[in-house]
Amino acid sequence: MPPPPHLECSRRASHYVRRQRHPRATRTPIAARLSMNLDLMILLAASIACDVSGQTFFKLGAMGIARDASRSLMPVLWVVGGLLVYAIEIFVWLRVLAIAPLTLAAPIASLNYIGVVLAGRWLFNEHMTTRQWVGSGLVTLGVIAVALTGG
Amino acid sequence: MSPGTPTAAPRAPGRSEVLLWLIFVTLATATQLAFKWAGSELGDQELGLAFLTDALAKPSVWVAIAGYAAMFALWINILRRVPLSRAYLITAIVYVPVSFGAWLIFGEQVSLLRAIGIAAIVIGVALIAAGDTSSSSHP
Repeated sequence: MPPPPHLECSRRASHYVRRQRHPRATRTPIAARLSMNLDLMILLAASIACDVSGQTFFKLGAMGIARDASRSLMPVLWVVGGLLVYAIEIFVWLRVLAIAPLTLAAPIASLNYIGVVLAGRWLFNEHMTTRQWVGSGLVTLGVIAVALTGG
Repeated sequence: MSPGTPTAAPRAPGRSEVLLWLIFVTLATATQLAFKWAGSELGDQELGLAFLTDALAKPSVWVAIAGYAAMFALWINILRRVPLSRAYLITAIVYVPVSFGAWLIFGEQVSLLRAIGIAAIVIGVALIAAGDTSSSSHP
């Protein structure tokens, strides 16, 4: 798990409430901090959801192209849907980076690997061996470590 | 197709699949480094129309855009053959050549944490790809 966001965010949150000289003495900083963490959490969850749904749409499109000889429009629509989701994610990510440093946001966003693996498992019945599950965990931890150093 | 339909039994990655991955990783690395190159050329500009026209005048930006388009076409082709979960995890291997290229070209230091992360990715991807091969004998 990445470090709790409030630890890293406190510096940014103090930006919001920099007029307060003694944050501990008032309730405003805590409220600002909490609401900002909530915003950040929602935005990061939205970003991960975009990755997972975008890749799911791409996979649906790719499978349709692979098995559908009748040239139906459906696979193309899935792929275009995936592209649209990624276009939305650009704006979500810009909002994330506006309120949090990259070295905090990127490691949390790296959980998208877990999300896509679970989508493959649940939506497409993709079987993985124990060895591959261990590999998935190592890759996710590795990406988090790299993201902690700046992505 | 409908969600929940079992996918084809896992099989050994064929030569064409390995070739697809090689091209994908090479393209992804070139694209990332082109973006970094473009970013260092453009500097710290305000995001606006001037930035956009400036960016579109740089060859490195066009290399990056073309790289992304080619990667997308390749990615759909990979997804036609490889299960989504495995394919997505394998893309993490791109961190290895990108980190190496960033060190070589831009002199970016590789910290201990980053080196540990890269090692974990390499071992993880090896386990995922090896599992794919071994499961082919008993689907």
